[in-house]
Amino acid sequence: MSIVRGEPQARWVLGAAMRSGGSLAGSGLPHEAWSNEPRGSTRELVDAMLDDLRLGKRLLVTIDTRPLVTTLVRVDTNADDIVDLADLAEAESEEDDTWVEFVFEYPDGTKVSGLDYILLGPSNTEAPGTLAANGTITRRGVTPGDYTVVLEEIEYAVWEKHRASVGDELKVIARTSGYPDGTAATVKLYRERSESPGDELATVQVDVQADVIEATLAYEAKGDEQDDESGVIGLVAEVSLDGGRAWSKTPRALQLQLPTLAAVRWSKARVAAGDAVELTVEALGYPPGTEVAIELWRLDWIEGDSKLCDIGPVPLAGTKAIARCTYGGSASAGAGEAAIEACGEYYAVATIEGSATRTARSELLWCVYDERSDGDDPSTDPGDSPGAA
Amino acid sequence: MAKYTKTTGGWRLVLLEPQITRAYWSRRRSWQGKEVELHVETRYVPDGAKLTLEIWEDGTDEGKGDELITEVSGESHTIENGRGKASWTIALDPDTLGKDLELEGDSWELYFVARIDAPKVTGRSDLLYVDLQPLIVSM
Repeated sequence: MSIVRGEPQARWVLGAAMRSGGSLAGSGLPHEAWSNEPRGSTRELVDAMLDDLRLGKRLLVTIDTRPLVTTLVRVDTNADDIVDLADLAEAESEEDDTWVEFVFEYPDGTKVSGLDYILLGPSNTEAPGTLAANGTITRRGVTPGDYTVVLEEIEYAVWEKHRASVGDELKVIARTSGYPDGTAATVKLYRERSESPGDELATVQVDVQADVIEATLAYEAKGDEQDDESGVIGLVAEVSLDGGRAWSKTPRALQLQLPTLAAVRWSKARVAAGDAVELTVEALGYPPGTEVAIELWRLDWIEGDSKLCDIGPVPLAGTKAIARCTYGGSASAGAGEAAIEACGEYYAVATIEGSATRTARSELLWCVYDERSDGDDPSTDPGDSPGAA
Repeated sequence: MAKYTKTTGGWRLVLLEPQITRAYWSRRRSWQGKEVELHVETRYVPDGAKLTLEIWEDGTDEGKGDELITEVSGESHTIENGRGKASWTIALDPDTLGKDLELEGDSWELYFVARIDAPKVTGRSDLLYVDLQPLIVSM
């Protein structure tokens, strides 16, 4: 593209793509204003045209110095004085540094609008504003120097950790821009997918400090139904400013481990006399040292099950509490140990007391008939088969 | 950082990427005849932007392509303060089951596609597990 320079112009004839999508006539300027207009206004038009060129849009531009007759759109290939528009722009910027402009666009070329911002000037001046429909912030006749547009927003919010247990501190961190220190922020905790007003599990108020919001939340079950829940749930934090005008949520839910008795299992399903077996209780969502009470029961289909003994309580080491049972031996039972004397089938019941009690039962442990004790054929003894009466 | 600096005598183009930051169902599992909510959260999308929501059946498990089930109808859906929301009642049978849309078995994995035309941005939700019949717990 090129622009033909001549006498002070009388008229611009512009075709193809102006930023408003039409010709200059479509930009809303009065027709007469093009002629004999003040230099500042003309320069604004040139600036607008140059902007479009910088943005890569195709423009057909002819500067016609003849008296106003009619709208012209032409390509002048025989012009004597042709300059590159980029050179013209360079020349203009050298001679005028009292303006600055920011253009906010989406990648598809449409303009961004509606975002709140603060324009910072070189002498620490602050001017708030909202992006207009043309996505452009232009200042003319300003003090030369650096100008900064700061969008007022919460850029992101993240959990400090992605996994936690009930009772842990849940820390969320958010990065802000455009809000001064001390601005009040609200941080709400939601259960993932239940994130409408009124669904908050917890709410805290904190302040913005150095463009950062940090808040610590805690999960507390609400009501018996939540108290009894086990497993893992997702938690989402929402950080908001300015009465909710600016907000951001943690894009990835924090995985909260609820108090759960995950497993109660024997190290083997069948033991012979003289053998020992370990009982492992796996408990998730509890702090180490939590005591696990264990009961050892003997299965009896006819008379009913009978409790053999208590084991422990056994403290959790990490997520596990381990007890030990010996069958048919002479060893006395110590802490976390139990002795089984009679053959048969046994199971263990593990319990952790708390705001909500968790209980889980093991599979059966088959203690086979000890043929050394009376010399009978084990295969004929009813105690030698699992589940036998 | 959302800070953009320019020295006087020049201009600066700032490109902002519109985003659908989250698209999620109100439930993880649901049943035929139940109403579910579709939630969309965005960044840098202006108020009033029109939102189109399409329900798709995920064909990953069947080794087939995904199948469009329906577009969520009703009042025009828009983004306001970065959020959009719509409701949809699961009604896959008998109009679709075993007919034009080959829904396999009696459970499905559905997702929705959220589409905004201006500015152009698209997002996909996580999966909603749908059973034809609700669970019956024996006592």
